[in-house]
Amino acid sequence: MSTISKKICLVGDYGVGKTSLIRRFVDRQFSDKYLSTVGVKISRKIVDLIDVNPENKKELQLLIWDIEGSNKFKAIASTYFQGAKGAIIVADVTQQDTLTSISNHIQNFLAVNAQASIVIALNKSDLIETEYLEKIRQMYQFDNNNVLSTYVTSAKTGKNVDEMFQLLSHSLL
Amino acid sequence: MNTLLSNFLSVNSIEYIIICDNYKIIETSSNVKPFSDNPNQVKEGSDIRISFPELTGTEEILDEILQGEQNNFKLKGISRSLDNFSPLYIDIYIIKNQKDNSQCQELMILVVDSTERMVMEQSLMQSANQANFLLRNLTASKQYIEQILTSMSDAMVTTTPSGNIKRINPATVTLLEYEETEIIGRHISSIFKGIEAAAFGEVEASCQTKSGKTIPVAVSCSMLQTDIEHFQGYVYIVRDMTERKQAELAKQQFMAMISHEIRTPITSVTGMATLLLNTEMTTEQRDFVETIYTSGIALHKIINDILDFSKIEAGKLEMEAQPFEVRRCIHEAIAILMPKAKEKALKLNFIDNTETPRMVVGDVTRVRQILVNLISNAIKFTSVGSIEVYVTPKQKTTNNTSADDSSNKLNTCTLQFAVKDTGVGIEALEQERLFKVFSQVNSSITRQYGGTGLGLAICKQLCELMGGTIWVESKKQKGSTFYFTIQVDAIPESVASVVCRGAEALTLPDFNVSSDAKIELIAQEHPLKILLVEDHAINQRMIKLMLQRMGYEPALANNGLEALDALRNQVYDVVLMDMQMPEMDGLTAAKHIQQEWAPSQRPVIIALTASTMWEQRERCLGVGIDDYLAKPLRIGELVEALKKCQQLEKKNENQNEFISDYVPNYPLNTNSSIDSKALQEILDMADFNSAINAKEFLVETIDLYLDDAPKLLQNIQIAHSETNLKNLQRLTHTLSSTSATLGANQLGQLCKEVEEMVAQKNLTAIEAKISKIESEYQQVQIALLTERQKYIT
Repeated sequence: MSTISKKICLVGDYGVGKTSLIRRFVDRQFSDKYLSTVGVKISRKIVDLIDVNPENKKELQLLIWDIEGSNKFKAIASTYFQGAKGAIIVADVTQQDTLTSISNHIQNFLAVNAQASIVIALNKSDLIETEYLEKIRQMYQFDNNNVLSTYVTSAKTGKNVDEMFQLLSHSLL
Repeated sequence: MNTLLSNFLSVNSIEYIIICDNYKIIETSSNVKPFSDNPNQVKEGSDIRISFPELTGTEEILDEILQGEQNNFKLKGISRSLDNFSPLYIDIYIIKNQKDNSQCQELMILVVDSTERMVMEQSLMQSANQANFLLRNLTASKQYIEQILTSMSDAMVTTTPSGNIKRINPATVTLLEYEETEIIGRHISSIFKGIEAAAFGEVEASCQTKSGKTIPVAVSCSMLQTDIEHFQGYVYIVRDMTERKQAELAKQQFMAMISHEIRTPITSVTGMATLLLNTEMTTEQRDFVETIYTSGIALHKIINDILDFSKIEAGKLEMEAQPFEVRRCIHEAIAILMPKAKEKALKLNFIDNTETPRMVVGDVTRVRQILVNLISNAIKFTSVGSIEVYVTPKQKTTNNTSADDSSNKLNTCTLQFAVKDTGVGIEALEQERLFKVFSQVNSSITRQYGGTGLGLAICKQLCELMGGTIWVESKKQKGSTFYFTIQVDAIPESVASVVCRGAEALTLPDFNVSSDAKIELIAQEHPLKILLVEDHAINQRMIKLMLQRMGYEPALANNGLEALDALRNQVYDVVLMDMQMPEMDGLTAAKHIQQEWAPSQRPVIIALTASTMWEQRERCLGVGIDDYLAKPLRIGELVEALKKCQQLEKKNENQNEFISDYVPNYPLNTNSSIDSKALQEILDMADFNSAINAKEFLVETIDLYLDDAPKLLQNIQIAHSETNLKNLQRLTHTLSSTSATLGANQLGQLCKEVEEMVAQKNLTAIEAKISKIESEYQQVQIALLTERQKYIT
């Protein structure tokens, strides 16, 4: 069994929950406390890629780049995107302006990595009543071959977090 | 690396790693390991991407640098922190390591500790982002509150601590018709009246709109307390009550109508049954009629109970606070039930207590109602023995602050009444249920003894409304004692004795119409041309009869306007002027007369008025009214007044001295609803006039009254429910005088009291009083029907 390392980035406005999604996925933990990320923090996670043929079972080491969020004073440095094979573009489902920013983030990321795969995470879904979630998810579908899917996620409850990383990991190979 | 460069980097705290084009480490500075993600792998021959994973994926860029296509590559702010308490950040710069003799192309990776800068940046970003979060939440909260305020159908007004309006919502603009800018800064009391108690719960108040309309509103108020002075003050929530008031009015009108519509036919049924019982019948017929009578009475009681109960439940029952004699109240209750007690050969006694105050302030009707209910129950459940009624003053407390003036101040005390019987008694367990609604002890009682089961529940609520309570002590087969207490203000004995004597002495000397032979000579001795101005048919009829009895033939006018016309066409010596009339009232007519005719030429004006106007006579003198007579007129008073007219030389007369000394009086305390002497008086007067059949005249007068009074009663209810005070005053005035004319003195007195209350704008207990008028009328109707029977020829 071979292990392959791939770089993926979590991109989005500040405070949307990028660090929390990584923490949930890597450490299975969650904290409500907000701590602003500056620069970049790299986490590793080995992902088993399950195949129909057990002999083809592969391990993928994800190098997950938790990149500082953008705000109106500071854009994300494109050098952080360099060499990434995939990205999770994160928005806060309760904050309209972060949802609006998704397109820009897709565009900026693909400008550096035109072939990369993207998954959209509409995070903090635990704060929205369930019946509205699917409607919101439908609103944020992107007509772009690089965008694999849009998930409503919750770092707090773990909703769709593993699923989202799994989907992206599969696409990296 | 050459020593010079190595030293330079070391001095500047810059660590380095030199790698080959296959990413293997060739050389490192001595202190680079702590900056690695995997320090053990920082060694010669090891792949740089293991110890510095951020270089994974940068292979293409590194190749470009090696090929000279790109000068450098930098990654800043890479976190190496293991936890939040020991931050470590590095910047990485990658450049080509120019070396001619090297076997492979080399890259130099410079590693700089950027922790200090990044920690500062983190602190800055943390603050900025949190401030943004707060701002975003604040904006959203503001929008949230704005939208709530905008969508509120109730008006909302906030004020400063001193009451100046600071903010209103759109519903307030709609309600008050003011734009926000027109109202900001004005004091809340300039718009809303009666809101002083709003802080203690919802109050009914009113507001004045820009166009001058007065709108009934319900207002509640809360204090706004925050740490910032700018956000302190009061918030008022104002609900437009117009629709609810209209609905309440409709309900009240409906209740008034229903109450009237139900009671009137029942009264007719019982009244007619009474008349029928006075005729000759077979035993079987008598049984039938007695059943009709008792059923009617029972139905009447049930309806009264239900109406009472619904009023209490709706909080609409108003308690009266009038002086009354405690012992008289008990005697009246006993008198009502004495026949029933006698029927069962039971003794019914009042055991007096000298400690009991003579007069107290309270609601005599409701106290009597409770006593009647308890005594009636006692009679119902007792087959042998006696029923005794007691009253004891308890917990006497004084309001006096000084002993000096103690004799004239009210004392608050609790009166405890008891009704003791020797009846069937009640089991202890059953006693608890007694005072609950529809809870006679068991259903067999209903079958055996009748009743709605509302009686004691009503008693309980009435007691509570009077600040007291009700309970029972009972033993099976031994008897029961029902106790109840009420809070009253006791009138000091010194005052009470004067009041009681006054009431007894307050009887006017009157003419004995039938025996005073001189009365028909009045007109001869004092010839006068008289104009009678009176709108109401019965009054007109009766006063005309009195005048005819004296030998006068008065001209008639129905209101002030007609009176002025009549005076313009003919000279009259005296105008008997009713004060309350439609079209033009007496006061206005008198003013016109004073303006139009010179003092020497104008007639003497005698105002016919209710005693409520008595206090206003000084004011009325200025408009040319010379004398007053209180309705219902007594012939003696009229004779005296007309005699004075004859003697009058208006220019020289002191008008104040001319005022009649008569004080209006209604004979009080008669047990019957009708004073048959009044009817006899009418008969005597009519008898004198040979042109009319006296008995027919009386029967016609009774019929006229019985036809007219129910309409007046209904209109009184409507006027009350619409708070039309002018109509209420006029209608009660009319009913008061016509009732008293026919000897319905108690009814006349009640109407007079309502009229007075309206005049004094004292509306608190008016509903209860109107209810009493209705009840009293039922009795009057029966009594008049009985009397009428005597005069049918």
